[in-house]
Amino acid sequence: MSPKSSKANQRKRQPEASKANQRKRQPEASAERPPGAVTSKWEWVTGAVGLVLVLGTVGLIAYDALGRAPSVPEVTIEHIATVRTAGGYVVRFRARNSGSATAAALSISGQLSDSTMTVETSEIVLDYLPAESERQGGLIFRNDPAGYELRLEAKGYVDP
Amino acid sequence: MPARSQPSEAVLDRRFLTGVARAFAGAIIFALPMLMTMEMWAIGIHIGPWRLIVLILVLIPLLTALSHISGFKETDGWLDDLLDAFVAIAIAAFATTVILFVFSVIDFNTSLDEAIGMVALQTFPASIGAMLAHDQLSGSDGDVDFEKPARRDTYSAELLLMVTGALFLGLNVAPTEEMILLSFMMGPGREIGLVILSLMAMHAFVYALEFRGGHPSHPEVGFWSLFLRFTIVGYALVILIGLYLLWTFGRTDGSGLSEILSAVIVLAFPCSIGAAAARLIL
Repeated sequence: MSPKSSKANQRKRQPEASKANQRKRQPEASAERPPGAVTSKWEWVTGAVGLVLVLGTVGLIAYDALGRAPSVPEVTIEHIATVRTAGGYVVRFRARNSGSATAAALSISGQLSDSTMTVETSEIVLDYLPAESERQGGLIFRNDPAGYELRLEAKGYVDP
Repeated sequence: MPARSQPSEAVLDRRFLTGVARAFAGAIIFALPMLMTMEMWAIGIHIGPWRLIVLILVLIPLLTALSHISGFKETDGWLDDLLDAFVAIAIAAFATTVILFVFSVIDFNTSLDEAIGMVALQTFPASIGAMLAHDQLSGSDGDVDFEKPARRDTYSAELLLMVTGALFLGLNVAPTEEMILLSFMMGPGREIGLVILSLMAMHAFVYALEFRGGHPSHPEVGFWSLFLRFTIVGYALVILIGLYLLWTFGRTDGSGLSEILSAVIVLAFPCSIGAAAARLIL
């Protein structure tokens, strides 16, 4: 017998009751108890939290789904910083999708150009850029971007 | 013998907290393979909103029915089962949020829509795990009663257990790319072979269960009775579950009927093993 169940026995003032008796009796005894009387108030609190989560989630998703026309991703790429490393110049960027559709396999390119021609191009593919989200990454150049005009662009995507 | 006195508030609270701890563990055990599957994160982000809503709405009656047949709170009504369902959902949502945050799948830059999608999707398997673990304890005095109440032995309860088992194994693999890949790789001959293999495996479990220690509920049943009532019905349920899971995870989009059927047959294999084993294990 576990210490816990022996404690429970004492609380019910039936120290003589064996566990087996208790077990057999339980169904009929529980039939007499009023509904809800054996439920901890914390169970109700947790249950209420669950209910709020479900209603809130369903409500929010439905609201979003109804309120939005089918749309396309709206991607902007923002330059954060350039870091010089042994492997080249890392141009850190932030890609932000302000549209309401997710872009998958989003290709992002960076171009270094001077007044006459493009000097260097770097490209990466972002697996996912969800709606109203942002991701950060880096493009690596051999030339120092500080000496050229840097252009960061999103080139294309597929629907997830 | 005097009628059992009402347990005090403190006993109830402690019993509930132990139940919560078990439910938390159950949620994580059940959902961990999915929490660590990258397709599940991606699907959580771009799942169709109505599919997610359907998934959440399917969850509530499923959990309520599971709570009903788990049987430890024998005389409490459907309201109590419904309460248990929402408790399981709350615990599962919390557990998955914590785990996804620790994994850095969700962080402070994650948009609300993204986080809700990922957590809601993972809450489906996690709350089933929470319910199964929670009901092993709550309502009993801390020691698990292995004497199964009659409620579990009804036919509909057995089918529900099969559904739960099918979901358990099926959810683990349904979101992955491999379901589609396998269906591309297998020809029609192998697919028919897999159907037969699934049915044989299911029936082996059904047979094993029927003759485990002289199961009293179905004495003297013949092969065809068992085969039709459990194996065939079970496999039909498994096919429907497979189709539903593939649809939910967007694997049926843009596919023709025969491609969908192939993927369903592939997914039905783990689902049928889960379904048949569940009656033995759960």
